[in-house]
Amino acid sequence: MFYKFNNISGRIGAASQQAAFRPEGILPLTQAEAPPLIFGSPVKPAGEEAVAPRGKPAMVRNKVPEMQQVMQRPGNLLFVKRGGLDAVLYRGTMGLVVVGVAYACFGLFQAMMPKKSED
Amino acid sequence: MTGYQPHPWHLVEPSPWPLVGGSAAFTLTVGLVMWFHYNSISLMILGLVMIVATMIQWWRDVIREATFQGCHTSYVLSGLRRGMVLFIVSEVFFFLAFFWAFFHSSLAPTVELGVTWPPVGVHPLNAFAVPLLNTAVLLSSGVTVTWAHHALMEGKRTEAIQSLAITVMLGLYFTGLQAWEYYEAPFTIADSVYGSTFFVATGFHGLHVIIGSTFLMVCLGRQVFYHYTSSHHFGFEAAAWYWHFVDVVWLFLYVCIYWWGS
Repeated sequence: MFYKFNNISGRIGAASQQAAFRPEGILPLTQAEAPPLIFGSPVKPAGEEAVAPRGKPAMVRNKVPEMQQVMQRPGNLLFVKRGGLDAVLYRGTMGLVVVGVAYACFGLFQAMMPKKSED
Repeated sequence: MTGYQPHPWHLVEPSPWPLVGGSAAFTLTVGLVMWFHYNSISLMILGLVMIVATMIQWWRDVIREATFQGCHTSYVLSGLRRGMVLFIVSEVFFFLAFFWAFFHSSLAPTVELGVTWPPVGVHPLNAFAVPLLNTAVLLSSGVTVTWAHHALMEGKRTEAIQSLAITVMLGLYFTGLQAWEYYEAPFTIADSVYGSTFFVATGFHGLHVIIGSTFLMVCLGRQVFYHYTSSHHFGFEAAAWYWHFVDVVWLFLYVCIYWWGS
């Protein structure tokens, strides 16, 4: 079963799979939060324990929602969005590019001018 | 990607990786020339490090766009699918060339080979020993990757991780067996056109198995870190397509080169 937020009625309703996964074309929501859902009995939200079998705590924490917030924050370009480590990796790689291209050009230049043999 | 976007396409941000990748390819090429001509490997190693750095950071950014920014809409995914299909088609033709060379040489063996195939003096590997085991290993990995896909689609997280891990292990087992087979082989790449066609075709296949195993390992890591949902996991699907392609190439290699060719 697939669901989609209906802008007109303001409710979550049934949808085809295609419609549910086409966020494009959805108009900006006027309300920031979804309307409260009413259930007959108290419902426990599905947390990480829901995916780990037999109630064991999950070995790996789901960091996707946090990362989505970090990556959707306006500001830096994508390749340095996370800050510190990204910047170090990027600068290190650019350093390698400068050294590599310079060294390669030097090597080619040397190879273009072979030394004459003595004999 | 926050806020309203009146179209379904992904307009990419400025990225340094195409330029970095191009510089890496240039460095690696000149590095290879330096190795061949002057026996110096330092520039080649530098080029390889640059290539690996490009791959890690570029694909890391693609994961950011897909999983963390939600840029991969159904339209974008459609483009990615077509791109992957075209890439695999190009790979099919890459291997077709090696099969062409093999059949060209083996169907009408020249006088220099002794007018026979395998050529006089070449003792091929037994197709019903390790190569048959390799066939079984790769076919089994095709089964486990399909199992992983179904587990993923049904939201069975643990099962998907287990089946994907088994697939990766089978891929590594195949690579190990091939390495051992190469070590044990009674002929070399320099032993007539038999050795050349055999090692070029099976060697490139082995390289593709290593690439496919790496691709699947990345998928395994992403599954462990909750990147995939039951309906949104194209990275995994692309790896599975690639793995099936490698599997099919092996079947042709086994039947034509190992079995018929011996």
